[in-house]
Amino acid sequence: MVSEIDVGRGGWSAREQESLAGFRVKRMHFFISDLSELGSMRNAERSVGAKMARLGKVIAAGYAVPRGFVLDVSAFRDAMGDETIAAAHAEAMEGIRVDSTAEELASVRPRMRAVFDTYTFPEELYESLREAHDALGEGVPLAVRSSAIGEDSQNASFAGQFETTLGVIGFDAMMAALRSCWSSPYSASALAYRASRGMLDRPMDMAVGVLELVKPRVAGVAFSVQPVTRRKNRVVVEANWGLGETVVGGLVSPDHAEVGKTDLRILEYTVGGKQCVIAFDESQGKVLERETSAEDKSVRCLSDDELMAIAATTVELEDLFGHAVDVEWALVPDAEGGASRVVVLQVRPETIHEEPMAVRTNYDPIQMILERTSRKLSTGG
Amino acid sequence: MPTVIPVYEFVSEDWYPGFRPGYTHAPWIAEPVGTFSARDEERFWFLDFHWPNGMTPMDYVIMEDAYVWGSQSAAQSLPLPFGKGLTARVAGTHLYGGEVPLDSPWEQDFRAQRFGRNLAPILTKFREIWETRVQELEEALLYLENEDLTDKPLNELGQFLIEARLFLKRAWEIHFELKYPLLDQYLSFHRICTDLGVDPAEVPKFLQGYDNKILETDRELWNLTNYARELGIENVFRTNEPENLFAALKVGGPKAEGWLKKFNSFLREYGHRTDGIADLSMAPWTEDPTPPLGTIKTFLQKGGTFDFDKAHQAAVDEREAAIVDARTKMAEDELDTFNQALQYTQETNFAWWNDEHCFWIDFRAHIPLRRACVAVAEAVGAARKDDTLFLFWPELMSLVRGEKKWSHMRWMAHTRRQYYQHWRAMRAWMPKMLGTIPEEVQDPILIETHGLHKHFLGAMRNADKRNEGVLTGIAASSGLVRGRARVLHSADELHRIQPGEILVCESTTTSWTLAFGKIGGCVCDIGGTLAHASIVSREYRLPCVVGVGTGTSQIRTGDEIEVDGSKGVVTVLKRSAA
Repeated sequence: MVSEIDVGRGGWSAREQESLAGFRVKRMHFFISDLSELGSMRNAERSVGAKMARLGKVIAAGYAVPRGFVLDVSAFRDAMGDETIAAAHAEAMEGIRVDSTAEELASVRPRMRAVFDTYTFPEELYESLREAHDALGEGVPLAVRSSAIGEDSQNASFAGQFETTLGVIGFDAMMAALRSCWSSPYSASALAYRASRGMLDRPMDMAVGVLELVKPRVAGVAFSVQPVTRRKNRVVVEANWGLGETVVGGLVSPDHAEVGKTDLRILEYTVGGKQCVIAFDESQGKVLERETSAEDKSVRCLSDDELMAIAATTVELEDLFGHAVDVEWALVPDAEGGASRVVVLQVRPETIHEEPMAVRTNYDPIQMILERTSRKLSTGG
Repeated sequence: MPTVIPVYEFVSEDWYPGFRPGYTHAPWIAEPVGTFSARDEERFWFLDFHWPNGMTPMDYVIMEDAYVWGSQSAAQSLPLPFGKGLTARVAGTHLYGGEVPLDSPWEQDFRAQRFGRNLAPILTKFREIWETRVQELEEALLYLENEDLTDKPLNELGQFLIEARLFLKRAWEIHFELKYPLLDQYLSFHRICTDLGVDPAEVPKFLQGYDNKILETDRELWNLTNYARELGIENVFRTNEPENLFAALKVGGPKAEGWLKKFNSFLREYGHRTDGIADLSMAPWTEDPTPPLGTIKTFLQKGGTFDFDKAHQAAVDEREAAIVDARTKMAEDELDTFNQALQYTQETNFAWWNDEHCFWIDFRAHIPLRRACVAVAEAVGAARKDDTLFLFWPELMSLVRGEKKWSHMRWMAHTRRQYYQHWRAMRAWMPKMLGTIPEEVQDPILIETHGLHKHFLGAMRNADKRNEGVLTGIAASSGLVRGRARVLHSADELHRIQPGEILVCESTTTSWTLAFGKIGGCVCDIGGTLAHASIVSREYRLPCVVGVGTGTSQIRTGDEIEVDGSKGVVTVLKRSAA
């Protein structure tokens, strides 16, 4: 059934594979890994963080993921070993406790950012980063994403705590974004989160992913369980025009759809207000937010086929990871502007706080009557 | 702090003149019928809307055999795990119902086990069981309705009375024996639908549009209306009041005669019914055809032809569309469960049975008893044919056995009729509830068909805080209508309704169905989404609000009111001048 859907969901084209292979040959430093290599890396999440490790697994399984590379945690640890940075860390973190005020927490990051900004990278690493950057293409807008070690782990999701910079163009801008990612564990919200979990004294390790910025027609998130009822029989998809940040960040009422997991039947499609769009503006060379046109607000942003393709990918990713997932996806038109394909930007384990509401698998009215009666008796005294 | 409505006003061992406790002694299972005692204040009592006229002395049989024996025997034999059935108290001549509680938790469990086991065969073989029961009722009715009682000697009439009473009792055993399981099944279905994400307002739609004897009666009345128009005899209907119509038609020429022939064959099939449930004071249509003739008169007044089959088909279409729509939104595993539950529920369709059984039991099973009472009245030369209804059963028995003479009872019957009429006029002022209003009641019949759900009980506990002129209740059927209110206390006043008026009443029963073809909307003091008024309003696409509590006392006939059936709000826009 899935294969009949006229929306591409495959891996990279031959041409794209070729350019990646060229980059791989040139790679010189162990600090940097191509995303496509992570799938075969042992304990990848320990060196590149769970977020990037999972993307590696998604690539290895044959799904489309933006091209890119990861600067692993050892580069960050090296930096943290730098005298100036270590001193700044000790000074800024002194007195940060569970009960620190918001002002105290907010004072940390600017100080760390200043020292990361002036940090001198080892020359070899610096050159490798330049090579890796150049391999992605001159003037290609990038997304620089933090990938913390321990993020999204079973007991701490850190969802949205760390930084992502979109629409970065050029090597210098990439480096600035990368330094900013490194300081993101020191943000007030990340510190508060760590404090609340008793994790303040543990060092936070950070890897950084640099990916080609997708230019989707539509993007959003998909859950392999219904997030409200916790039912596992349907995929929930939320979507908006342009980049998925409006959906993830709660900036819009997205289109909301539910799709049957077993038969990919569309159970519900509610058109949302889709108030604004975030997209890469070619003329200004950066990512901008703008108001959605009246027409785009009122129409569905996903066709049935597109919706089913997203749902199918989500179901398959749930199988691949062996647990409920939420997926950030983008529908990217191919180079010729033809049919869109589903590109996976991120996969997270869906944090399940409570047991899903069970669907009764058969109808037993008598059992239900007895349950109702005994409930009444126990509450009615 | 529980809300208590004092009962002291009604605490008495006296009742009708000549009544004393234990005067009648029909068997009972958990608790007999009685007058109010001071201790009854600790319990909860509700004015039962099924008997808006009050009870005659002979109606005591109805309370004993239909209400109390019927519900308590079903509660005992099923056995119900949440209560021992219903019991009744009288205040004036008005019946207040109450639950007989089941206090021992052990007994509740003990009964629940058996209830579970006994329910399965009843539900899975429901159609078969109901067919058998209908056959049983039909065979008995064939005898009881056709036996010629004219000129029968008193002792034979006495025998017939006993048979008629036995039949009444058996019919009401069947009534409760099936009503509890079916209703409980329906509640399970309702629950699973809402679990599956179905809008609760959609659930009743899945079960609507199945033909039943009550709808069939309606259809025939429309056919008779169209036939009268076809024959061009509307004038006879226009110029005569309902109560004179029969006589007028008889002398209305050959066309009217032809129409009456058709009407009479309608009465033979559908006329064995009263306009109220198990109410001996009401004459069945076969005895007095004023109600159906009055209905046909207003149908004619309404003008235009009403395509009954089209309206019925619309209900069917709406049902099928609602099912398709619900299925569309369900995942595959949910769909399996839903289909299973729907199929099960269509086989044990409470909504359908709730109408159908009225044709055989509620409107009909007491008619032989009334017929026998009338025959006795005629045999003893009573002034009025219903004089014997003002005797208690033991008195009637001594009359037919020749132990007492009518001349010794006549005065008593006369006095009691005055007592009855006095209290009948008091109906609108009777408290809707007495005693201690609970958070909730357990009996599903009381919750679903009497509308004594939590929301309503809560509203009653706060009744004095209500904003006058605005009543809130359950949104039972969507839509907005403004119009003149017609406050009715009994179904035998139905022919007074003018087309387009908004019916305001305590509650409706199946006998009120006829009104829905002409009213603009409906407001009921009590009821839930499954109440008769709610179901029929949806079928007729009329705005309806139920469970407003005090509509019949706050709204007067002639008031201009607005009914918002989507929000459950009724507003008095303008008071009538009168």
